[in-house]
Amino acid sequence: MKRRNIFLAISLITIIAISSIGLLNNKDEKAHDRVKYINSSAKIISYSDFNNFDTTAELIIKGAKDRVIETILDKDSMGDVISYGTKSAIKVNKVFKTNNENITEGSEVVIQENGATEKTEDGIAIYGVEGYQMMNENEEYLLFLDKSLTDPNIYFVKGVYYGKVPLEEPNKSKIQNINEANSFDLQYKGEPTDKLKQIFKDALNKYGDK
Amino acid sequence: MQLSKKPFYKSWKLLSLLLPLLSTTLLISQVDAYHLNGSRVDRPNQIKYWFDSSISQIGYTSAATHGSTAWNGVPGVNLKINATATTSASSADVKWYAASANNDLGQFYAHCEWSGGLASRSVISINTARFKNIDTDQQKETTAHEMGHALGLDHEDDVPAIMVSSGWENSVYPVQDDKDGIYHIYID
Repeated sequence: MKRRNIFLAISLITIIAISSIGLLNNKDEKAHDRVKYINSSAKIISYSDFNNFDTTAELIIKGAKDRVIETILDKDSMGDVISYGTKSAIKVNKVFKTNNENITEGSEVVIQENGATEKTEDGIAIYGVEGYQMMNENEEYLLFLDKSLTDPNIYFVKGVYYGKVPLEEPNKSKIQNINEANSFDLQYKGEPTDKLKQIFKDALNKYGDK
Repeated sequence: MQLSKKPFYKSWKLLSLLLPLLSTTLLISQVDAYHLNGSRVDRPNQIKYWFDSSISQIGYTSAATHGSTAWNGVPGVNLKINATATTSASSADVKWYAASANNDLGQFYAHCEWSGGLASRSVISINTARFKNIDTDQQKETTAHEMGHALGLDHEDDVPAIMVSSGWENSVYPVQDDKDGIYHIYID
């Protein structure tokens, strides 16, 4: 009788523990060390393949994020986020393609990233459209950019996240084996499509070692 | 040797070992389910949607109304999706906004943010600067797509679905795979 009760108690504790792990494991909203990731789903503008992506880009550069210029968080009267973004200053290290003679090595471009960070009472909230993660300061990226349709001084990453290829190691080497597990390290928090994998690889093959 | 007189199924030791295994199996099957974003509306047969004034000012009432109601009649288990308009933002499950045409938000047509959980509230924002460049049917497919996110669906790129992450399914209403996802989420 006593042994039976012990077994039942162990079973009940195990069930409760497993259930708790499952409730906490929400892949779209994780709170870890006071950092909360908030993704929004979007109908993004697509590109058929790398060639289409490459030829339509207005600006292709290698650059490093220097600083955040402005965080944009538009909320309604109930505190719900309507839209967000971050204007970041990127120092240009190399220019592969441009139609603006003012953009040269050493100059600066402003990119409106499709992500934002916000300090909250609980810690930090990190927003990202379709898993977009903000560029790290002083790290180099291969960037495929188009001008904003409403502000010629602002650029957007093509395809929201497709046009932001990390160049720092070990990410640069990981791109050759990009999968769901390592996509979190590659400045993208989501399930990589075959198209993303191929565009990243093709981008590196063409511009990575130049 | 005296054999146990207890029936096999009455063995408490066996039951107490099987119960955790069964619960683990069930939990794994739920966590690794369909392409879901982990949220759902509280009352799928009584969904309330609300439009900010920006929707009518910019001229997207028809597109937003279509998106909000495109899933009406899609069955869950013992219920059907039904969304109707409300004038109360605070009671809405889904709120719609349209960005100014002078404010390009990025390379997407619209996005949906949800609060998550079993009674999720969503905010759908139309990126007017890009949205206005697609045709009427594509606008309707986009708004229906965003409503799909509000209902709990994630992207589906392997089979025909309006929940495709990019490009077009060329359908302004949910297709079979989309409906299958709703059925899976809303088990009443």
